[in-house]
Amino acid sequence: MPGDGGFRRRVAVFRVLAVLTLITGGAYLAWRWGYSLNTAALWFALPMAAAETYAYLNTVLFVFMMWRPRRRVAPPPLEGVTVDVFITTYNEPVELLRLTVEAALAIDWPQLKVHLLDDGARPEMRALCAEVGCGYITRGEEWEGKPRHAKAGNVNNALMETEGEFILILDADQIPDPRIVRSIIGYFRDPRLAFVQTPQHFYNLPPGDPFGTDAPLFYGPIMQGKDGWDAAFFCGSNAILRREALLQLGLTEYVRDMQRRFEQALRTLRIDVQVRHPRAQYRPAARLLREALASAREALRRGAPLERVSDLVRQGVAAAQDLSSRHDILEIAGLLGDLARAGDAAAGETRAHLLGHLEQIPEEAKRDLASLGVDPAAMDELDLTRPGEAQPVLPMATISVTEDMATAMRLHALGWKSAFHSEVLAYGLAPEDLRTALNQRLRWAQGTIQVLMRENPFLKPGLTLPQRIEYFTTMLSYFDGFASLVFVLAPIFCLATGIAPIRSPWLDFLARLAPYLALNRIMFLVVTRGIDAWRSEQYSLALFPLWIRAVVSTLFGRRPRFVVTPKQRQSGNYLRLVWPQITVIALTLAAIGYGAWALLSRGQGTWASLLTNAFWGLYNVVMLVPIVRAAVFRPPEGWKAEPPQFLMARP
Amino acid sequence: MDLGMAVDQRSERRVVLSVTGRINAVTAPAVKARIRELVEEGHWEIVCDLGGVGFLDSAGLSALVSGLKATRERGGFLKLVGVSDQVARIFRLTMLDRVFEIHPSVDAALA
Repeated sequence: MPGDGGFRRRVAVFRVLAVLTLITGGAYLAWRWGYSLNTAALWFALPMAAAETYAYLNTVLFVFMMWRPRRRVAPPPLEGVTVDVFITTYNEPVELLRLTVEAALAIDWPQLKVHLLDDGARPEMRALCAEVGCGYITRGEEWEGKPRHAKAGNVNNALMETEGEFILILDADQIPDPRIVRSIIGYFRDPRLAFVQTPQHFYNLPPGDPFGTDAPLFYGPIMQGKDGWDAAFFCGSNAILRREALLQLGLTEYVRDMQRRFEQALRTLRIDVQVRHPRAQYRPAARLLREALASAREALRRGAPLERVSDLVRQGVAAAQDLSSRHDILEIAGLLGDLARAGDAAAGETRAHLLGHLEQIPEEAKRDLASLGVDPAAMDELDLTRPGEAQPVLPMATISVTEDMATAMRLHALGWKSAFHSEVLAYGLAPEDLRTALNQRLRWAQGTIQVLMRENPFLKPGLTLPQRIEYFTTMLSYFDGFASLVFVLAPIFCLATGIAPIRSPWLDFLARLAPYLALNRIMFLVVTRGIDAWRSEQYSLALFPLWIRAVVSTLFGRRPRFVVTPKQRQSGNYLRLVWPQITVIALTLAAIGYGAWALLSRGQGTWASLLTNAFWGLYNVVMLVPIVRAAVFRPPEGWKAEPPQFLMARP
Repeated sequence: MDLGMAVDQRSERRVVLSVTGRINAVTAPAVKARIRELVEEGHWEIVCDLGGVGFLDSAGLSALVSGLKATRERGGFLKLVGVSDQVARIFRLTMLDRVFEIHPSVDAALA
């Protein structure tokens, strides 16, 4: 391909710089821990050294991610396959959906069906679909009173109502390029490929991208890097997925979940029967039940069909019920015999009847589950139809508010492959105010941490080591807030107290740190050549309060809920949302002023320390200022979002 | 254990025992014991009100038959009232409806 030589050369240059960065950084860290900790102020020195180590670990992971990026060229289209377009909506306005639906209908592919997945079940959406001629899908009765699983549930519901071989998922606001299917469907010539992800692109970004929404670094070098390790992520929309892969995933997860439930239910039953069994329990029946549970557990362990396991338990329960009921009937017959001998003829007849029908005890007269010490709820768990869910099989992962990452990880664990196609083929709307932008970031962060808690990539069977590392890298990035907090507070402490976390001659320190930082910077610039990642960088530091909040709320708080990102600008002034950043800026500037005053008028401190900390503090201020400006951002007079060109060009 | 029992004394020998809840293997021993207790206290003419019993299994039947025997031994009786359709069906299927006197109400049982 044209420019391929340039790409390869760039990778080579990157690798040289990366190795040098890791060597200088490793040496610096060794020196920091081994020789320069300020042991007189460990409370400060230790967090600082830990934060620096964390940053180095991030660099190591970054280098690994970028080591062998893959830039793909799509194979020729896979003609003749059927494609369903899913447009997911919950509460977005009709006019927005009209743009998306009409663009979807204009996608150049003969075997294409467009479906609007309206989770809001709104009549006006149904009317829109009837008017433009696309499918309309909404949740059925089976969902009433069951967990809805937000967007994942919406997609799962539609998967059961459609049959195209491939599925293009679009958010309500994402206007597809007519070439979207033709451009990337060829990747599926590889029969083990589960999905192709394309970049998120926004057509309403105000000049300068004040909210840092544009993610050219992620939807470029990062995804290409992950793709190199067969770990390109699915990002929720602008992607085509293979139905077969999703269904296989759904079935596998279903069986796995059932297996877990069965194990749990059998454990509960065993404890009930052995430990909590009622005193009135007829011992031989209890023994029978214990034996049945043991063979059910054995069958489960051996991997017998779950239906068989369930049958073994049910048969055991029924046998135990029969045996103990028969025991009761025999007792009754004995008593009736006594009554008959005392002259009650009817008692004698009934006795004869009961003894003659010992094998046909009426069901409703048999001992109940509680009499066996069996919890009916545990028996319900042995039901293969998953009574707690609207759909037994749930292809899209429902364990997290960010269903996309969990789904991708599970697909990779099953051995499916993925691809990242770097050409923009859909145009969406970015948040237009800070609150919305921050909520979206918070949701992603919480969802990702949730996935880490529920399905740790290092523990999940089936992933390759590089895939584990790639998932972990992304998950770990949401823990950056703590290190960032140390980095923004440290210069303030140094300047205000005169205490340094490092004990070393100034030049010595600089000579070790500067090459590492410089190489790191140059390496980053090589990776991001041709794209503007500065705003992303600023936000990744400036959002430190949000990252911390995401971690704390997910690990210690309530379960985050799926929040639909509003697509219209919410008016208002958001300075309150950025008070931590404003505080840090103010404290930094004050600390620089104080440090300068202390040196000049009192002779406290050194020029070297003042300059280093002032430079560092000002760097932090530069990183934090954009988010504060975003809080009071107003779009320039006369500025308007322009939908993509191809829409305008259509007759 | 969801079982309730209340005794209403009508005369020296005669009591109405009202049972509520489920009479299964877990609760039947308590019913059986209570009837024996009543008989030993001299109340062997017992009307057992099953109006509040939603479920009765073979162990429950056994407890009632054992109560019946205990009252008969003293020359008394154990009559049943307030039997729900479901419980009545069980008595019919086991033919125990021919052993027990089953009445629509306490008054009818004592008439």
